[in-house]
Amino acid sequence: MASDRTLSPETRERTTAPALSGGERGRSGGRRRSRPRAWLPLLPVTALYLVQFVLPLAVVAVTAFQTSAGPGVITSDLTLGNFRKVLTDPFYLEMLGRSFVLALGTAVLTVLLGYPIAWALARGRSWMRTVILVVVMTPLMTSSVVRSFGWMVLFDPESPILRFFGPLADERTGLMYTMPGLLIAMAHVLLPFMVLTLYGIIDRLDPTLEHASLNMGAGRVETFLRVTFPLTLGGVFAGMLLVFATAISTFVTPKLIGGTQYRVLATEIYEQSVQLLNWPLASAMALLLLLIAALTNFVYASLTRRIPGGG
Amino acid sequence: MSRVCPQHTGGGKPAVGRRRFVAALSVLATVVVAAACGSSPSGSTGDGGYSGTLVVASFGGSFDEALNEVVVKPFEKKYGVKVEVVTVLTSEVMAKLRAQGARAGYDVVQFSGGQETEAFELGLISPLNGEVATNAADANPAAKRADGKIAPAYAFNTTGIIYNTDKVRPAPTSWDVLSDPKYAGKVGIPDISVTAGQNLLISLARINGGGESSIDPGFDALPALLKNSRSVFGDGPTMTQLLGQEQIVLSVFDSGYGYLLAKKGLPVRFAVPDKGGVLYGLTSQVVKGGAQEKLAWEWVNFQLDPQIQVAFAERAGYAPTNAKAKVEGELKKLLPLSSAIDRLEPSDAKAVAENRAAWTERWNKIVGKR
Repeated sequence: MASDRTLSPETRERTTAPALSGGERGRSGGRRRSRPRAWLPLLPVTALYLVQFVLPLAVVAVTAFQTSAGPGVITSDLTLGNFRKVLTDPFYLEMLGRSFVLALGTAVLTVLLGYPIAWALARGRSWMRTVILVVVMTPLMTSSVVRSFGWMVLFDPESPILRFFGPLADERTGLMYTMPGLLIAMAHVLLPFMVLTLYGIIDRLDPTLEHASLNMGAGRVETFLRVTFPLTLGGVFAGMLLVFATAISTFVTPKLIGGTQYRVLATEIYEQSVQLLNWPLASAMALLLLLIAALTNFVYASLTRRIPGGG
Repeated sequence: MSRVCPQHTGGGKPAVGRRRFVAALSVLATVVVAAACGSSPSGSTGDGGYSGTLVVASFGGSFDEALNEVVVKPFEKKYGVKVEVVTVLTSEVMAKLRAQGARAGYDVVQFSGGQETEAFELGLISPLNGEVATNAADANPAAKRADGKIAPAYAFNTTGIIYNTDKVRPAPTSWDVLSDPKYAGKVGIPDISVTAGQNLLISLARINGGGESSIDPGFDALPALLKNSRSVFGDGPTMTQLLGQEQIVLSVFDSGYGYLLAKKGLPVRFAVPDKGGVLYGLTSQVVKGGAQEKLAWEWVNFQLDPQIQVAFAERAGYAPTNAKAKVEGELKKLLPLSSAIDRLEPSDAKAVAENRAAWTERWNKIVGKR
C-alpha cells in the first residue's frame, strides 16, 4: 500500500494491530494442546453440515445423472441428457442467462444504492444513523411475500411510479414480469446485506487517512477516488459476492414478480422438482446454478487478492 | 475450573442438584404424556368402538378450514377419534405412497386431479367397501371413479370464469369472452401448474375440435387469450389480489374459489361456460393396508353423506355428488355448478397424467415468449 508510507507510526500500529495480537495468542497457547481444542467446538456444526448439506448435495449430484421415467420415478440409467437439455434448449438456456444477469445486476445495483447509505451510516450523526438503520433493516423484517405484493401494486401499468421508468416498463404489464422489475425488487430485499457489509468496512476506515490526503492538497473528490474508495474495495467485493450468491438462488421474489412469464432457473428448479417431479432435470439445473455461483466466487476471490485492503 | 466442578466425585452438591433436576424433568415428562393421553379420546365414547388417530392428506389453506369445520370436527365427535389433517401436494403423496405404501403414514388421501385412478391401478388404495361406505350407492353417476371400483367423488368442482359483476356485462356464457377486445389487458389466466390452467387448456382443445388426446387445438387457441391477459398467475391469492384491485375483471379459475370470493364480499360471480368445461371431483381414498382402514371408510362415508355435503357446499362452494343432497334457494344461485353438472364432462385422467410434463413445457414456452 502506497499510502502506508505517509502514515504516522501510531496509525500503522492501529491498522495492523488485530493481526499481530492474533498471532501472539496462537504462539503463547502452545500448539500441541490448542489444536484439538480448536476443532472440538466445530464438531457439532460439522456433523450438521455433513448431514444437512454435504449428503443431500451428493444425492443431488448423483440424481442429476440419472434418468426420469415419468413423474417421481427415477431409473438408475446414467445419462448426460439432463445437462444437455438445459444447455441446448434455448428456453432453459435463457433462464440460466437470466439468473446470472439478475444476480450480477442486483449486486451492482446494491453497491450503487448501498455505498452512499453505508457512508452516511458510518459518518453521519447518531440520530441519522438510527433512522437509516431502521429504514435499511425493515425489509429484512418483512416477509418476502408481503414485500413482493407491495411491489406488485407499484409495478402495475396504472401505478403512478411507472412514469419514472418510462421505456423500461412493459405497456401491458408495467414492470411486472420484466428484468427491471425483478432487479428493483431484488435490490430492495438484498440491500441490507450490502449496506451492513460496507458499513463495517467504512466505519473501521481511519479518518486520519482522509485528513492526511486533504492536508496534502487533494480535493474531496480526489480523496474519495484515490484514498477512501480503494480502501473499501474489499468490502464492495465481499458485499457483491454475498448479494450475488443470495440473488442467484432466491426463489420467492422471482416467483412473485417474474411469475410464470419471466422465469429464472431457481423458480424452474422448484417447478421441476415439486410440480412435475422430474428430479433428475431439477438436480442438473441445481448443479449448474451451483457451478455458476462457485465459478463467480473463484473469479472474485482471485480478483480480490490483487486489491489493496481486500482478501 | 476443576475446583468448582469435581469430575470424579459422586456425591457433591452439584450432583444432587443434577439428580433433582432429572427427577423434576421426569415428573414434567409424565405430566405432559398424561395430558396428551388424556386429551386423546379413549375410544369408548363414540360410535363403532374406534380409537386412535386418522391421518388425512389434504390440500391446505381455506379448503382445510372448511373441511375442519364441516367434516373433521363432527366426525371426531361422532366416532370419538382424532383426525389429523396433513397439507401435502398430491404429487408428493403419490410419490410417497409409491415408495412406502401404508408406511408413508396416511390413512386417507384426498385427490382432486383424477390421480385416484392411477393410484388404484398401482394398488396403492383400497377398492370400495360398500358395507361401510353405504352412501356411495347414492352417488351421481358422474362421481363414479374407476368404474365404481373405488370410492366416488364427494364434491364436484369445475373450472370456469370468475368475473367482476360491475365491469363485465352481460355475464359471460362462453370461453370467447376471454379474448374479447373489450377486456384487453384485464384478463387473468391460471398457469398450467394449477388444475384450473390444465382444465382451461383441455376446454380450449375441446371447443376447438380436440380434447385430452389431441391437445393441439388448445395450444393453438392459447395465444389469443394471452394477448388479452394481464397476468398468468400461479396461485389463488395472486388472482384474488388482481381481482380485488380491478387489475383484472375476468379470470379463469375454480368454482369453489369463485364462491368463496363472492362470499368474502368481492363483487364477483362464477360462470360455467356453455361448452367444453371440465367437471372434476374431490375424492377421499383409503390407503391400502393402513392401520385404520375401517375407520377410513367411515370417513369416506361421512363425506358422502347428503347433509354433510350440503353443509360443505355452503361453507366451501363445492357442489354435492350425492343425489339425495338438495341445493336450494340462495345457495343454488351462488353455485351455478350445481345445475350444470350434466353438461360438463370429466377429463381423461390417464391422458392428463401421461402428458402433463410435455404439456407443461409446451405451455411454458408459449407463455414465456409473449
